[in-house]
Amino acid sequence: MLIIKLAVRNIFSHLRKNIIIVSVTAIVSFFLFLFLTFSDGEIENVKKGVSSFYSPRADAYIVHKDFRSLQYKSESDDSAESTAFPVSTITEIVQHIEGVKEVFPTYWRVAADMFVEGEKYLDFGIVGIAQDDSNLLSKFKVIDGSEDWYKADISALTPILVHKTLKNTTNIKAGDELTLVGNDIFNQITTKKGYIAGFIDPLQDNVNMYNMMLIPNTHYASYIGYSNEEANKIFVRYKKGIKDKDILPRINESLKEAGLDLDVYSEQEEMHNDPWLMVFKLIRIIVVVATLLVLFITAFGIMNVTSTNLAERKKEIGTYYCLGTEVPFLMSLYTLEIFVVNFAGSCLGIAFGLIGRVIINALKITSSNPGFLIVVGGSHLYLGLSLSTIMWILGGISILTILTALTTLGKGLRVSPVVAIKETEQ
Amino acid sequence: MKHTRLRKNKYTWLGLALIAMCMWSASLAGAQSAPGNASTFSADEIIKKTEQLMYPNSKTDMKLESTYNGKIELYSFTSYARDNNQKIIVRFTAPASMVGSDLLMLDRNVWLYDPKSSREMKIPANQSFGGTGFSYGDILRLNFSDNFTASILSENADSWVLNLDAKLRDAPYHRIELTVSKQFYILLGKCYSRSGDLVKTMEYSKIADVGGGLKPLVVRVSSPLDPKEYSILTIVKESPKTYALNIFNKKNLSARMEEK
Repeated sequence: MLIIKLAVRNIFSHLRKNIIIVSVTAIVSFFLFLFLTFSDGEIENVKKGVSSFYSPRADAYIVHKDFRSLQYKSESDDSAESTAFPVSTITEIVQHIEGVKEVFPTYWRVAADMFVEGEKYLDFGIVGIAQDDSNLLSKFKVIDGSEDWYKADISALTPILVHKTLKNTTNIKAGDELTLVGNDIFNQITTKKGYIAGFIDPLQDNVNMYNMMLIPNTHYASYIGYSNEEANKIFVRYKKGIKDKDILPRINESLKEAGLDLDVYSEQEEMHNDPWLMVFKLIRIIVVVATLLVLFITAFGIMNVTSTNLAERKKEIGTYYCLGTEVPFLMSLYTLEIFVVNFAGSCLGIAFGLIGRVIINALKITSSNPGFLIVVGGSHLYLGLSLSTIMWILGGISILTILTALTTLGKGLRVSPVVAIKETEQ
Repeated sequence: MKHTRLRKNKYTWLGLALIAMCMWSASLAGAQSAPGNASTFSADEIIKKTEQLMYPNSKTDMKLESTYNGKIELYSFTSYARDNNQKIIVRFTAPASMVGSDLLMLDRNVWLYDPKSSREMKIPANQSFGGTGFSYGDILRLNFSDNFTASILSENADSWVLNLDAKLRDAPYHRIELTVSKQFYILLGKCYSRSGDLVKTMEYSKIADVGGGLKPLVVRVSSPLDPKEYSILTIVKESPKTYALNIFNKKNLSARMEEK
């Protein structure tokens, strides 16, 4: 307790100097916070935008027993047929289990070329949308078309949504009939006749979505070579508050009772191959390395301030020695003092950062500029927030303070009591 | 299978005699092989004989001319094939950018050799061949008997129209309508997708013998989806030869054992 009392007293007795140190640490922490929350925001934008279309997530997955091992061995080409299972039997069983919100099949993604009015548009990534997939349906708006576009009958022409940029950059317009041509998952040439049912206006846009097209899941299944009754993966989403341990065993039991020996696993076990998220996670690593450099430079500042501070406080140190204080106690005392000052500065910086984040997010800065979309990860500038960001700043500043204090204090505390008394007499 | 059979009655004898005379004179006039007729050949036999003629074990020099919007691209290559096109090596001789980017097809798998990285890459058989109307599968996998179940749709004096349904889901096309002459060479191929859309038309022409027997040397591939684009494949020279099985492996794409 004595050590804390002395540290607090020392802080207030050198208030002016400590205010300066707190301000500097606060400014450093503020900018580190903004950098890291920008990176958090990028990842959040990608998750809500392009990844939710191209690499969607569920709470649980149902697949064939061999599906994951074949995927792990990169034998997906050969496994397309052997791992297909009956969709409606499974969805019928699972959707009646308490706690289940949505159950729908999902398929491998394939590409397509689009022929419209004699013009050829190449390399579109198709995303099939299930009628029950409320998550994906909430991620975009439809321009020049109905919001119920996906409820078309399988025997009718396939309704297709393409990105809004095509509306301005091509002659394609809503209602145009077209043919999709590509290879199905068995590598057989496949075609589908359809029409432009509207244009996609994603809530979180991305340049990678410019060549995306959305079609109803049932139409997509037939395009990729499956019958309406086949799939090799089923998504299960839970109702709010439901946890894996509450529901996964029940799904397993129900399927086994029906004589279906399938692999049911949670999101934690899923291996996502999400290149967009990988890019922004790599950018985050770069940002973290940049913050490390900033902290490294800050460490020299702390060292300098600590040694100058101690040089000016020889009288005080000498008095402590005269009173019989030992070096370890003084080391702890001054380390604690510096730590408290820097930690307070860090907290203040983060607090200002949080205010700045609220203000920036409230401004709702948006743009459809491709450069902006790439840098920000979406069409809205959003500063995210994660525990790792706060822990990184507080932890980084704290560890750095302690390390620099310990390395600097040894020299600063080498004061002879005689010299200290002399200084007192003068 | 739809077989057209001639009803034999006393009123048709004269007609039959006349047809037989015409066919005999045609064979005397230089037809490569005896023309088939509905009563003697099943669809499977027609396909087998067609493959023997069209895709013999051989070394074949070919040219490919691709036209899109009036712009022409030319490719030259040599293929080494055996087992009805089930095993093929294709070596490019032009353009310079393609030399070394050789291909190997083994059963249903296609590999492309990348000379820059000295590696073999597995590629989808339906991938477009240098942006032309041909896919790698069209050049390498024109194997009907293993991929399709054949039946005769119709027949006339000169040709059969065969319906080829894919045996497995990984056949290059869901269905092919093939017009085969009674001399067992292909005249026309129409490739359909599972949805029933015509995706590719292959028109065969210029019947001549360049070493592998009398057969069409030129095939023009077009698609109704994109009328501005078509490709023409021409057989320049054919040398029948059965290559050893061991040359048809990935490592040989760089070793070039068939040339030794």
